[in-house]
Amino acid sequence: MLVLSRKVNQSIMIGDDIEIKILEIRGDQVRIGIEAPKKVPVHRKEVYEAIVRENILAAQMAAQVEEKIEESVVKELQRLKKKKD
Amino acid sequence: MKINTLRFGEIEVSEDKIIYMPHGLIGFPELKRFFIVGEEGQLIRWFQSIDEPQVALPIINPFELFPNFSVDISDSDLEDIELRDPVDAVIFLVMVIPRTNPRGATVNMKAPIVVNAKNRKAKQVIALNEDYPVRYPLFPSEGGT
Repeated sequence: MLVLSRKVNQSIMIGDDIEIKILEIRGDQVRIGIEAPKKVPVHRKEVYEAIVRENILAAQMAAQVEEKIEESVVKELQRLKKKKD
Repeated sequence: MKINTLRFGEIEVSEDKIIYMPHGLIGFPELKRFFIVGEEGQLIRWFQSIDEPQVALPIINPFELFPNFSVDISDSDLEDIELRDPVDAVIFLVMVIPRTNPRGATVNMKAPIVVNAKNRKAKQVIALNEDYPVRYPLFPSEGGT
């Protein structure tokens, strides 16, 4: 891993079009500004990890969902859909 | 081809119905081939893995329930499935249905599955929409979790 020290308002360039700028340092928190073209997805790592957990949960829960439960949720969804229409 | 599944038993799936996810599902990178069980218009359908018979995820079409749903997708995600025309995009949200509290069901708005209907390549993308939650309660007023 490349390790660099930066001060507030200093930046790092990754390639030609990604800029990462230190905006503010307060206690143990750092505010970072990221400028990247839209083709480069930028996400907090926690979001990715939350999605992994959610998919695993969805699969585990689904394995326990019997037809009767599915039908009851479908009924609720129909009600929800009617409300929105 | 005949496909073995835990939920639906053995089913016959024609090759042109198979959905290919080059990156797999998030958290399940080895699962790359899926197909959808259920008919269009059905509120809950199932995203069934071909590679792992046990994995079937309940999915919904967000546009049926949330008319204002509008997902913002990065260009690199679109390139991965060669999606050039938004008209070709078919979008699903993964549901979590708790067996003990079905009314606490949620959908993952942050990570929709986007299928390119033209080539049947798909990707579970991370939406650029900052306000889309991973766990959106479907029935909030009716005693979620």
